Amino acid sequence: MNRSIDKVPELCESQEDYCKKFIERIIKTNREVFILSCLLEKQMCGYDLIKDIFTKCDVFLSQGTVYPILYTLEEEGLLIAEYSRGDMRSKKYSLTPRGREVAERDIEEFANALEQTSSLIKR
Amino acid sequence: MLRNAVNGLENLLMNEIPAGSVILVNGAEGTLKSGLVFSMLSNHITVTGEHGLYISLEQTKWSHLQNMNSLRIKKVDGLHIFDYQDMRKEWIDRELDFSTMTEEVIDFYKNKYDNLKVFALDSLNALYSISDDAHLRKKMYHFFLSLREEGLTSFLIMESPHQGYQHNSLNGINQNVFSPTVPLSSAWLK
Repeated sequence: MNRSIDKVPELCESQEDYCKKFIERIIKTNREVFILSCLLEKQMCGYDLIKDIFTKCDVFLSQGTVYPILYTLEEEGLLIAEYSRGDMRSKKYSLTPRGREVAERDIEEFANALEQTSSLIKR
Repeated sequence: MLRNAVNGLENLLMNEIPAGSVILVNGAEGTLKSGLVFSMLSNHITVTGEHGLYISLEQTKWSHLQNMNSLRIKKVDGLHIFDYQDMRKEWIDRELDFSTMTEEVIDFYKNKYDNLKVFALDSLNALYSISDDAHLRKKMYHFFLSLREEGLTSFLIMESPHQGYQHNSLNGINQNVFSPTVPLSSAWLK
């Protein structure tokens, strides 16, 4: 198959798009791990989390998929929520000691799974 | 089983509510629509061990629970309550698509709890009033159909201005999407 040199940038771009789609799918199906990972760094509200993941990964997690995760993690005792001083508009979430353990374990397992999957499909 | 979830309801409903029905609970202010639906869901979940989701658009989870507590209606573990207060506060400058978000919230809880079978939205009026969308009618129609497709027995609470007023404020949505309508009046509640 002949490929013109003019087509190379186009090909690179489409490969980039393809890769981006895979990353987006991975993040969206593993939202909880990415949320926990962000919360390992600092306490955040739902708005901050969505913004942070968008800035880092260029993936928009919709509000309807993020807030239920925060509420159930709080109910399970993995997160605590508190209003910042002087700002009743946003409820900041941080990891409890057990939440930190779970976050670290889940992130490691997730990274291992990705690594293993990658080695399985690379020939 | 929902038919027997509240004393006296079996006199109003001739048959059991088929699973996957979308039911409009319509009534004037103060007719205890929320209390009736919450009580039905709680009692049903206690008997069946299923999970349920109650989305409150008007009140916070805690104020809703306080109201239910004052009516001596207990929340059971399998009944999950979700409210939009944090979202609305934090995204105050953005237009939010509440019907799509509600579908996403339902998806989340359905994936988390395999046996999530009952759902309530409190209220349709609030959903209309906070949604600022030119395609709202189309979206709502899609939303009602998606509830059926999810196989959830759904109760949509709607306040009407006075007794006897039927759901004319559904923005022209084909009412065939609903199964039965449960019109509440203070007379019935007595």
